[in-house]
Amino acid sequence: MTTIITKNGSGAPTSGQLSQGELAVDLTNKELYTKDSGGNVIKVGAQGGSTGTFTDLTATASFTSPGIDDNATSTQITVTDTDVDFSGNIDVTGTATLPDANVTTLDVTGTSTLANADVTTLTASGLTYPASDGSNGQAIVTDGSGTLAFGDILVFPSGTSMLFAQTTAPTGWTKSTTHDDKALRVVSGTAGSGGSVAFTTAFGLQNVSATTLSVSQMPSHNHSQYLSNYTAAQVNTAARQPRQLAYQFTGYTNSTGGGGSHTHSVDLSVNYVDVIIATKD
Amino acid sequence: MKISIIVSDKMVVIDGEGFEIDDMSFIDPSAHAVQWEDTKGFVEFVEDESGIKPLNSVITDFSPYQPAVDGWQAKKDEWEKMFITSTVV
Repeated sequence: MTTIITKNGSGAPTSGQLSQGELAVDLTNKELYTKDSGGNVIKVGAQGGSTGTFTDLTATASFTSPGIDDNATSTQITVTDTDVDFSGNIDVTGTATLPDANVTTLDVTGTSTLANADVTTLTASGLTYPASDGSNGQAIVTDGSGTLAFGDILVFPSGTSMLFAQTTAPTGWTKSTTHDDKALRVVSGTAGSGGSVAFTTAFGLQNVSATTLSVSQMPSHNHSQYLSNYTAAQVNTAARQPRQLAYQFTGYTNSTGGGGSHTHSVDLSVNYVDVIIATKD
Repeated sequence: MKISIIVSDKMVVIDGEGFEIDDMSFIDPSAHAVQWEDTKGFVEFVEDESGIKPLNSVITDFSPYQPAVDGWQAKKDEWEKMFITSTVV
């Protein structure tokens, strides 16, 4: 017949005070002890009290608990150790609600699956994560103030102007119509624009603009003149003096030359590829 | 009718016959020459401050340059009169 030892003091009984299988009730702390086959005094249950501390809770095989309850006093259950290690899986078959979870470091060496985690706002290490998924192709970007959100991958900042060898601007870009029928010029200073002749006009020339030569543009030259007959009149008839006779001859060569313009051939119709300028939205 | 007007020379040539007229002020001084043939023509320009000669400008209205034809006709009349009358000085 096994003897049940009842102690009125506090604390666990010693190994010598129990035989294997005997129970000892600590009425002060409301705890129940027994002794295993190895001679160890083990706690087999705890009703709890105003406060309670588990020194060790070790299960060598499968461990099933109906729950850890603070006896509905809403008293916080505190794990004072620096780490809580789970070598196996943590399975939650119902809904796990963590109204105010504060996890400093969460290390997962295996696979962690939260099949139905409902987190309104998830903040970790000062970063607030988006509460809903983004669109296809979007990525999580930061606003620089700790808030993450899904957004387009901004390879080019808004307002960037680029050339595209296509008629329509790509998605997310707007075609610019500021410049039309112009050539490109590379500069090392401030980018601008200028000129007055359209690309297709300048590079559509098949000859240099017609030019008319003025006298100053002609080489110096002369013309032969033949005077075979002339009529001269005496002057100063009132006081006719033979030695003072003077004759004026006015002669012209025949006209030649049409005064027309001339051209020089040139072909500036270079090959080209049309491009558009589009600005990132 | 083919008409050439060379502004700096005050020369007007109509169908190959040229005369120097007295007044060419009715033509913009930026023009170097005007060429006209029947129904259309073009204006050539002198070089600008940068030494660039602007592209010719096509014209389809000759009326602004009609004084050149009038001046040419007056000079032609003088010329023909001069050839049939001896000059006494």
